[in-house]
Amino acid sequence: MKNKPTYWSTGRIGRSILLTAPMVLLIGLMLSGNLAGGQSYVHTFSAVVALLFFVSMFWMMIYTGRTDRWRAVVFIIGALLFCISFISNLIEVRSSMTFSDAEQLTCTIPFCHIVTTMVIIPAAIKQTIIFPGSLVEGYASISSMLVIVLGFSIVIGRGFCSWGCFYGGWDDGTSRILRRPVIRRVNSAFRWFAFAMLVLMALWSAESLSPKYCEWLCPFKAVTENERIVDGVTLVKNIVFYTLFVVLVVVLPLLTRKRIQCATFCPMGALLSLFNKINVFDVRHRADLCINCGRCDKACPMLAIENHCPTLTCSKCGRCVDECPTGALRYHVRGTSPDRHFTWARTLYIYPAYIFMVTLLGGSFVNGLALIINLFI
Amino acid sequence: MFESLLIGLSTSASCVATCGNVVIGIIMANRQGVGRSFALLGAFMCGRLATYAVIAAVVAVVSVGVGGIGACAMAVGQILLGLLMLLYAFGRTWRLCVGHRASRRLYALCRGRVVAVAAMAGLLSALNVCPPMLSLIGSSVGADHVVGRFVLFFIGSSVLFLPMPFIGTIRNKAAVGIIGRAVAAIVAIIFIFKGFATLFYNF
Repeated sequence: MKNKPTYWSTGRIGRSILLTAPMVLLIGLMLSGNLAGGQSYVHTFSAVVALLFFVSMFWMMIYTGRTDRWRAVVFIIGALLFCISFISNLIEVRSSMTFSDAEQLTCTIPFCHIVTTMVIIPAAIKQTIIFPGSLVEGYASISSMLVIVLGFSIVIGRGFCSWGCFYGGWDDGTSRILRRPVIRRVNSAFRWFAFAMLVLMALWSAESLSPKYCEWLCPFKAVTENERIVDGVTLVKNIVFYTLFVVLVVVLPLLTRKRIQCATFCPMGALLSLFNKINVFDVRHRADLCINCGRCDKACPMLAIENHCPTLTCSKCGRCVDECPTGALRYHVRGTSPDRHFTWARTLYIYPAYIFMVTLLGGSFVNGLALIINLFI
Repeated sequence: MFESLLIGLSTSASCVATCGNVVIGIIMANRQGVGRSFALLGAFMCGRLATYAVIAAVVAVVSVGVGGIGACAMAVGQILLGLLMLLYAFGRTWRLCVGHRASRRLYALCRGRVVAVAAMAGLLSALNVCPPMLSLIGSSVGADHVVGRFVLFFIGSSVLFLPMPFIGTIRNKAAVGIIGRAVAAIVAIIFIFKGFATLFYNF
């Protein structure tokens, strides 16, 4: 059997430190707002812990040569702390997790990246943003989120789903709880269902001029904010949110070891898959090294591998790259040879991806950690 | 009379967003070329026009707007459209539920007569009275040339449907058929839900 080629820094402490050093500065820069004076001791302590955590995870990624394992640690913990931070923020501002008509009328609902799929057509046709959020002010304003998400997508494509999305960590986490899947075979054709969701939600929202996915179908309403139950309709909506969360984010990922909600249901994931066509990074398959062992097919949490080749819906999490015993799957920069410089292709990819992850999850990571520490002192 | 053409043109985007899901589902799931897709769109439009003609005749003869009976007809139309799309999406895969022979019959009923399905879908989806249609009915009650108004509205609101058959250019991708069937299935669920919700709220 062919041996898996190792990266330039794998198992080398000095080289790993050399590649990690710039990241220390960049992460420090990202968290500088939390480290600056004027914050409480707990908050500053949390920021220092976050800095050490982010840097050590990146160092492990570089030193061990395994991408997915350490990415997932940051991603899952980041998603949990995001929800803790977000919910506590809501309770502080509104005294509850729910929002009322008054909050919608005053446009104070935080903008979530999934809404992007629904605002595009009305924005193009009617020059209207169909979301009750602030354009530039307040927490998670529309313009700031759009700039971050679109910038992120152009650079790493659907990598957003594995490196930036603050919801993705939930089903990434539940899909790793069992060591072996109970449901062993999941038809990869189900991933096209997300594209159907994209088409329908975009058109349905354009017709009704309201974000229908958020109003009726988003499973993550269960762990962020949801509409206050005031009548039968809002009751039905909440039942739908919690049911979808339990089924798509907890039960099915647990049984299949796949990220079912992200791979088959999320319209944003489908939109970002299209960005995979235009950005420079991809995961490349080398047929001459492949031994057809099928480990990549089994490992891929996004149902994105067909005949051992990553397809359009690949989220570049790195699990197939880590699992492949011969190095037939590797990160690649388009326009370069996949045979040579694969260390640098990987490094060039994980640098921006990791910086984006810290940008999106860093602040809520520190806040969530500070909240937990405050509970115990 | 020409104001109805303007109403149709200005609200064409809304019409596409409402009924476009159905057309997209049918065209994508069928995976045919552009010419064949235009034929399907034509069948859908004929069905739509037939319903408009009936509504126009009712408005001209009876001179009343949409009342309780209209809402009931709309709800029933939505439920039937939902069932039709469900049949279209899962015609072949219902083998487990209805048996192999029955499944083949269902498949032959829908996928084998796709032009008829498109026409029927157009007929039923036009019953889904949207705000532009309501404004047209409101302005047509007691007016002259009611049928002409509805025909002009139909022409105006059909403009943005014209690019849809070009989906046929990507028919070679196997994923297109799967996405089309998934669209048809979700549309079916939405229409059935809306139909029952309308019935529940009105009666």
